[in-house]
Amino acid sequence: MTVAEGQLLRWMEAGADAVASDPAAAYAVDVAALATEYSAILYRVAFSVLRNAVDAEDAVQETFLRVLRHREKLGDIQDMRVWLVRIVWNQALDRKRRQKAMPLEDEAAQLMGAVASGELRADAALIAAQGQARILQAIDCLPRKEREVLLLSAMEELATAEMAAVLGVTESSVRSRLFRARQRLRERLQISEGRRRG
Amino acid sequence: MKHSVKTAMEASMEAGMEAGMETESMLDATMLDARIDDALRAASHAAPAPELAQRIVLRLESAAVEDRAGRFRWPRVLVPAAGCAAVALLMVAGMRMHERAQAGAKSAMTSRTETVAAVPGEAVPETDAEEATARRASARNAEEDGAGLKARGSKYAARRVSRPVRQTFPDNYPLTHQERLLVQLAKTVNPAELQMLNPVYRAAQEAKEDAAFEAYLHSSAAASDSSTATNATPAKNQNNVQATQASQAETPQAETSQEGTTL
Repeated sequence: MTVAEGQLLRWMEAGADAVASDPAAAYAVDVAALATEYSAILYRVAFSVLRNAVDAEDAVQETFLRVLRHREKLGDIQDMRVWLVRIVWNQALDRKRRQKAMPLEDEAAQLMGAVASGELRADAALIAAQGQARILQAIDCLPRKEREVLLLSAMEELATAEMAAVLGVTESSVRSRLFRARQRLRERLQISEGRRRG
Repeated sequence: MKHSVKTAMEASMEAGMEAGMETESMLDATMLDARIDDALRAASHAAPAPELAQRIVLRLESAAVEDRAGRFRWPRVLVPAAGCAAVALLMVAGMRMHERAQAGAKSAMTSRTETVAAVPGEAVPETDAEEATARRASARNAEEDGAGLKARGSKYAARRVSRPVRQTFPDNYPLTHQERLLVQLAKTVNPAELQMLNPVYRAAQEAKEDAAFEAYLHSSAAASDSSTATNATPAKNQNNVQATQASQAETPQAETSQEGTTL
């Protein structure tokens, strides 16, 4: 049993009467169970957009608070995971829009902190993180639709149909956007690599 | 021959170079894809901070508590707000009533002036009683002929009708005939007539007049008695003439006193 599940159990035991009599408390218990189950994937989705641990956690918490506020709709949701990913995705995009562009060094540092790199030495890990940050900045320069598809495609948990549901488009358009995005990104990276070497 | 071999070797070398470049570009593309995948994986496979779920659950718990408390927040705010609003309404109503009372007092004080201004052609009453009587009569006329008021369009008249007549002391009943005479007498300011209003002085004057009348009667009776003897003594006749002249001298004073009594 995880810590969060223990907390949830303690909460339910302590407030059993309140939960039984108060529908709001019962809904809160439901939302807490959702948080226990989906907080990790939601955090990854938020981090893929924001690339900041604190902001990503804030986005996840805000997502569950929104769910708690609109708890009466919980019964109508068919695919809870896609619904939650969609909420946190929009939440992260809103936050990203309000943020200023992060410098390359900060982004590399965030990536180094986020990615467990026990196999690499510190300098090699830093070089790798800088390369990854450069690629991610190139992704940020892509058109919005292609960028979003590319970022979501990195989520191995999400199938194409789920990505299409999150973005509100068809599966074929997801595939075509993904193909165009990778192609455009390769071209840009080749050009930038040539400039750096030349 | 040599030339052909050389050309073939060059061609094969060019082909080999092109193939190598293609291979290199394919390798580059594969490497780029790998690097892109690595970067995306690094961005999306970030490990969440430990106990993230626990923090979220705690936050949800506090939010649920706030939500439960929020249900009773409105009544807690609304009840004092409603009380304050009721007190404010009462204060405003009290102030309005006070202002109306003050305005009524002022209108009673200035009603005479307003009446004069309202009907320019109307005679100005001289006393309060007459003014009150005239105001009441005009109000009655206005009530009887409301349509006439509207037709005239006089806002002053409408104001007079709508405004309640304030009770004053002394009451505004019309004067009796005697009271009017008294008022007229007071306006003439004749001391002799005013003195006649004093009952003691009046009784003394009447007694004096009675005495003069009695004296006149006695003198006339004596004159008739002596007339029989006049023929004998002309000196007596002369005495009678003197008495008559004396009584005639007293007569104007008696007439003036008679006028006073008639008044």
